[in-house]
Amino acid sequence: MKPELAIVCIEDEAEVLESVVMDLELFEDQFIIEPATSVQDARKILDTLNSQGIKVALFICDHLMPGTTGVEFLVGLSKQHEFRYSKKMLLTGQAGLEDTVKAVNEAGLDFYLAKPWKREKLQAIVRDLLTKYVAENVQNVLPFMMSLDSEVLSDVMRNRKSLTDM
Amino acid sequence: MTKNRFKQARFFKLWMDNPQSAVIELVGQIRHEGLFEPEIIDLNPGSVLFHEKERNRYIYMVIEGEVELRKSVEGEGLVRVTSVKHGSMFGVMSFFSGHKALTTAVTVTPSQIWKLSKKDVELLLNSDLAVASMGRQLLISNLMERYSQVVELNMQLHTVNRALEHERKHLDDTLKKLRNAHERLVHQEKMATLGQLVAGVAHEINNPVAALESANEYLLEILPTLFESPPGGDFKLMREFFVDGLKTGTASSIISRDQIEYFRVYVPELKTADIRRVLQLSEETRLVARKLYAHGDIKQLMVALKYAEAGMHMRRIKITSARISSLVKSLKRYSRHESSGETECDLKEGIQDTVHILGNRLKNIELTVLIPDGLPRVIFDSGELNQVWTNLLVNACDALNDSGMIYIEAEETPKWLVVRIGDNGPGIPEDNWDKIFLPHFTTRNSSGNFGLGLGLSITRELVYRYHGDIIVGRSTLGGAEFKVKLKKAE
Repeated sequence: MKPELAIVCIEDEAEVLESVVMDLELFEDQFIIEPATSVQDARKILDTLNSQGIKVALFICDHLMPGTTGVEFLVGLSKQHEFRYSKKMLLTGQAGLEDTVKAVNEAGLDFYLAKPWKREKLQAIVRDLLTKYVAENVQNVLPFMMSLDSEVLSDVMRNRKSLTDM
Repeated sequence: MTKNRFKQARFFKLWMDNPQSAVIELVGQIRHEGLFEPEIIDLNPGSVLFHEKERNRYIYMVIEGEVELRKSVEGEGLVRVTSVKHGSMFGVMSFFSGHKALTTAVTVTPSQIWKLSKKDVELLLNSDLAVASMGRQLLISNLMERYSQVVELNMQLHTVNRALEHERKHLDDTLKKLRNAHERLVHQEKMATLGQLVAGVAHEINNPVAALESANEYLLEILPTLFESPPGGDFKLMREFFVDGLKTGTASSIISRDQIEYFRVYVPELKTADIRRVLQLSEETRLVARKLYAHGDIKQLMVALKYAEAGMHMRRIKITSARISSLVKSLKRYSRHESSGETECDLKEGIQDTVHILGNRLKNIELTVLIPDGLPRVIFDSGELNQVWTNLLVNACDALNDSGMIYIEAEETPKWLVVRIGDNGPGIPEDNWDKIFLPHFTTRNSSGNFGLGLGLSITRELVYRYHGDIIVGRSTLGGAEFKVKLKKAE
């Protein structure tokens, strides 16, 4: 099945972006991985995804970048209708307390992971966030059972079934 | 004779108890004996009897009132030496020695003075009468009085000297304490700046470290695959892919989805990850990959791609570790502190190291550095000069709120090496131009900065220490500019 959900990664240092993309390869069968080296770049990608009817399940964002910062970008996103339900995480070493609080309070930040990170940790968090997104926004969760958290998804299926039975 | 002696003794006692009466009695006795007519004058206050450095031909006796003896002191005018009250004499020294008067004698109250001329004194002292011994006694008593005054003055002098010594020690201690306190403050400011820098450098190193750890982990995972002999044993092919991965530039390694979808047409059975790998290869190697695929050699292709991936990881390890080591090198150079008196350093290198260290702080800053090559070295300790650059650059970043333009320009003039650091921020109002270098002057509302407001004052102190100068003005971009003049090394 062709993936209709995307994970957008924004990080201005190429070596780090490469590492993130590699860590996410195991989700690649079901999710499109879109790398961007700046917020400007990311916005272009979002336009393209939008025009193709592809929704963004997860944003993974660095904070300190030339031009718009990650937190500013995420705050902007949460005001846009199409991205209100996308999960958002910061992957950074340079967000001070003020900025992080802003991200939590104004952008609805879902997770903060500090650099350097352990691959397993990132993958576990991503799996968790993608599972949440799918549970909240996707009609048919069955195809995601393999790559995401199957326990949670089966619970979701059961609950939905019971709702429709009522 | 006995009668005389008794009289003498009585007179002496009288003088001790009441000198004025003794003098009056002497005058009366002189008149009674008809020796001479004592010259007695009444004076208003402020009358001068004789001047310092004049010849003095009289002995003076104060019958009533008070006379001040004064000496002129350079820069102070007339200073009071002593006061002569009723019953005492003055003018004695200069009278007998014939030398010039040591002091100026002035009445300070309405006074009655008895002037004795040389003749009078001769008559008085050489007569056979009782008045002679009275006169002698008077003279000796006055001299004794003077002498005891001298002794007392010496004692006072000694006490004053001791107090002065004590004060001097106290001042010395206070000065030492002040110096220590100043050193501590300078040190604190340095530590605060260093603290900020360390935090910045730690963040700066974080990125390459993350990439390094990731590449290392992946490489370790791939190694077992590589250690097995490739099916068909085509080492040449595997090496070609490995070397290609090693050479791949960073720019080409971020492959967009469009590219992947475009290429997928040629290799529909490959997973997205593998397609990405193929696209990261050079054109020639990509062709080889396509050929392998076309031949149905999927398994070999996958192994070859693993070799390419290994090459890419190694490349990442090489780049990130080089970045870390260059950062550490800059850090070492930045903080180098040669303690050998007058030192020299390279201007361009120092500024480059400082910019490197500040790293992420300058991420959103458009920084223009215009320093020509071949500039002479400057007289400055390299660590301390870097402190100067750091302070000025951090100030500029703060003024710009970390986003804007900064320029660093250097040029050589006949006498100096001049460095100008300017920004396009709000600038500094002219009223504050002389105040900003004062300690504790700050207009920042602290938003997590650790400074004590001493930065510029210490910066200027450092510049002055090496006989340079620092001037604030308006930058060509409309903000603030700091011009630093440095002495050139021979």
